[in-house]
Amino acid sequence: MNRPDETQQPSPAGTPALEVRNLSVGYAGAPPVLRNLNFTIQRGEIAVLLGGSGCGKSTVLRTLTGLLASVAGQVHLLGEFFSSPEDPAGEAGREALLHRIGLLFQGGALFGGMSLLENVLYPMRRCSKAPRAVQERVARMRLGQVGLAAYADYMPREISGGMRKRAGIARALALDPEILFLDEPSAGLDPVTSAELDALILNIRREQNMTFVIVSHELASIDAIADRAFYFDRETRSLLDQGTPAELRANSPHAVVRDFFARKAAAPGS
Amino acid sequence: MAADDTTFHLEIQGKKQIARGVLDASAALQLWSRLTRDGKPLSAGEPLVLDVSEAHVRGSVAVSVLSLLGERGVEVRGLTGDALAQVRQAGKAANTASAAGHKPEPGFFESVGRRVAGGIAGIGETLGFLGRLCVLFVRTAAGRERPEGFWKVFAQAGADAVPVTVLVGFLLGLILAFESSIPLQMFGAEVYVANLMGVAIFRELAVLVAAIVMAGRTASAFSAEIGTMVVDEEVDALRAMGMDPVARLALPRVLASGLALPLLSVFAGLSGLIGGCLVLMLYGYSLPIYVEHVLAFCKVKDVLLSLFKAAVFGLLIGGIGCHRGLLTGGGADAVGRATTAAVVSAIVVYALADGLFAILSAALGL
Repeated sequence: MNRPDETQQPSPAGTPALEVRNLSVGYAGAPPVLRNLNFTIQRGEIAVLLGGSGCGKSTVLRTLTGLLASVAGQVHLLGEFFSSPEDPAGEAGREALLHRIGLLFQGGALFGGMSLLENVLYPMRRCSKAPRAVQERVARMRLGQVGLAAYADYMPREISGGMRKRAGIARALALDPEILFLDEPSAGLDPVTSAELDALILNIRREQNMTFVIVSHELASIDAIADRAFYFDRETRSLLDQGTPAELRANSPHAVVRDFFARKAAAPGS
Repeated sequence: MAADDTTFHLEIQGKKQIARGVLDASAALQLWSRLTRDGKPLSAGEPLVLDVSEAHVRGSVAVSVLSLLGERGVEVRGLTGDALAQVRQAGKAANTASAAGHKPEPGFFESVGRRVAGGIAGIGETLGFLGRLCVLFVRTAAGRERPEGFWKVFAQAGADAVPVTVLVGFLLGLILAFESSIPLQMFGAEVYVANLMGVAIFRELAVLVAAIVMAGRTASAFSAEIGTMVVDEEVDALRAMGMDPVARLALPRVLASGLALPLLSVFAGLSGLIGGCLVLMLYGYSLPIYVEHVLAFCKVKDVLLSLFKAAVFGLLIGGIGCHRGLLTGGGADAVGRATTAAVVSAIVVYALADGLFAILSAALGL
C-alpha cells in the first residue's frame, strides 16, 4: 500500500480526476435514486453537484467516495478503477486510492474524544511515515489555513458548528488529497465565513491543482467558485444538465434548471 | 519535463546544500533525515544553508519540513511566491497561542474542592429530579397527569424482557439447587434443597434476577434513548414548547418499570423453582414432594414483601436510567458513558436498597 509520503507515480497527463460510467445510485431494497449517470471531472476542476432537496446529490457523493455501493455502473478515480456493484470500494486494494481523496461530511464528523489538532493528526498517524514534529506542523498549518490555529487544543464540543466544519476541512486536507469531496460546506456558515471558505478553495486549487467535487445549494458560492455545475433531477432521476453556472442560468433547455438558479418556485400544477 | 529534471537530488557545496527537482513529501523526509538528528540540525557551529531556488516545492509535508528546518538553525534560501507564503503561514500557525490561554493544571486542593462541589451539585440535582417525579406521581394518582406512551414502554420493559428473565431465573435455580445439593447429600438431606429454594427465591433471588436483568436491559435502554434525544436537541425542543421533559419522558418509563419488575419477579421465581425441581427429580424426588417442601417455609407475607420491594426497585431502576439519560453531556461518547453509569448506578442502588429493606424487615419483625 502506497502511503501518501511515498512518491506517487503521477497519472498520465490528461487523465480525468473522476469518471462515472452508467452509474446508478441508491439504497439496498429501494429503487435507484439516480440512474445512468455519465460524466467526467477534469483535474484541477471545481465541480458542483446541485439539484432540489432529496434529488440524491449526497447519495452520489457517498457513492463516489466508496461509502455506499453503487446499484450499477462504475466509478474511476484518478485514472484507476474504484468501484462497481460487483467490486465495491470497500475491498482491499482501494486504500491507496482512498488516501488520495478527502471528504468533508455535512456536520464535520470530528471525533468527539480528540482535540482539533488530534483530529487533523489522526489520518497522518495512520498513513504517514513522517516524524511527529513534521506531522504536527502539517496539522497546525491546515488548521491555520481554515482560521483555527488558536483552537488546536479545543475539543469539538467546545466550538461552534461552523468551526467544526472548518476543522473537518482541515482534517480532509491532512493527507494532501488530489480530490476533495465536500458535502454542503457552506451550510450553517455566515456569509463572511462562507466567502472565506470560497477563497480558501480557490487558493488551494491554484496552489495544488486540487480537484473539488462539492455538493452545494449556495448560489453565491456556486457562482464564485464553480467551473462546472451538474444538475440532478428528482423527477426524472437523472443528470438533467451540466455546464458553467452562467450557461445553466441563461441557456439551459430545462426550465427547472433555470428556475433553480433564479430561485423561482415551480407554479402549482406544473 | 524529463524524468531526470523532476527527480529530487541534493548537491553539497561545503555548508551549502542545493536542492533540485521536485521536493515532494518523500524527498522532504529524506531531506529531514539528512539534515537533522532527532529534530536537531546535524551541523554544529556554522549554520547549514539550504538553497531551494531550483526545486519545486510540492505538498504540505514539504512545506512543513522547510518551515521546521528554518526554525532549527537551517537557513532556507530561494523560497518565492506560493511556497514562501505557505512556509510563513505554517510557521505562523504553529506559533499561534491558544485562544484559551495558558490553562494551569489545578492543584490537589483545588481538584478535591472541585470534586466535592461537583458531588454536592450532583446530589442537589438528583434530589430535584426525585422531587419532580414525586410531584408527578401524585398528579398521576389524582388523574391530572397522563403518562404518554405508558403501555408501549411497559411492553418493552416488561413483556419483551420475559424470555431473558425466565432463562436467567431458570439457570440460577438450576445452579443454586445443584450446588446446595452437594453438601446436603452428605447427610442424605438433599430433599431440603427444595426448602432452601423456596426461602431464597421467594424472599430474594426472584427479585434479584429480575432487577439485574432490568438494570442491564431497561435502564441502559432508557438512558441511551433519552441521552440520544439530549444530544439531538429533542429535549431542548420539548422545553422550548413549554413541556416538562421529566413528565413527558421519565414519568411513563419510571411507572412502567415499577409495574414491570414485580411481574418479571414472578416469572423469574417460577422459572427458578422449575430449575430446582429438575435437579431434585434427578435425585429421584417427585414433583408433589418438591412442592410440599418449597411451600413448607414460605409465607404469604414473604411473597407480598418481595412484590412490594420489586415495585420500589423498579421505580428506582427506571428513575436512574432516565436521570442518567437527561444528564448526558455533549459528544459521541457521552451516550455511552451515560448508559454505563445507568447500569452501574442501578445495580449499586439496588444492593443498597435491598440492604435497607433487610434492616427494616428485621426491625419490624417481618
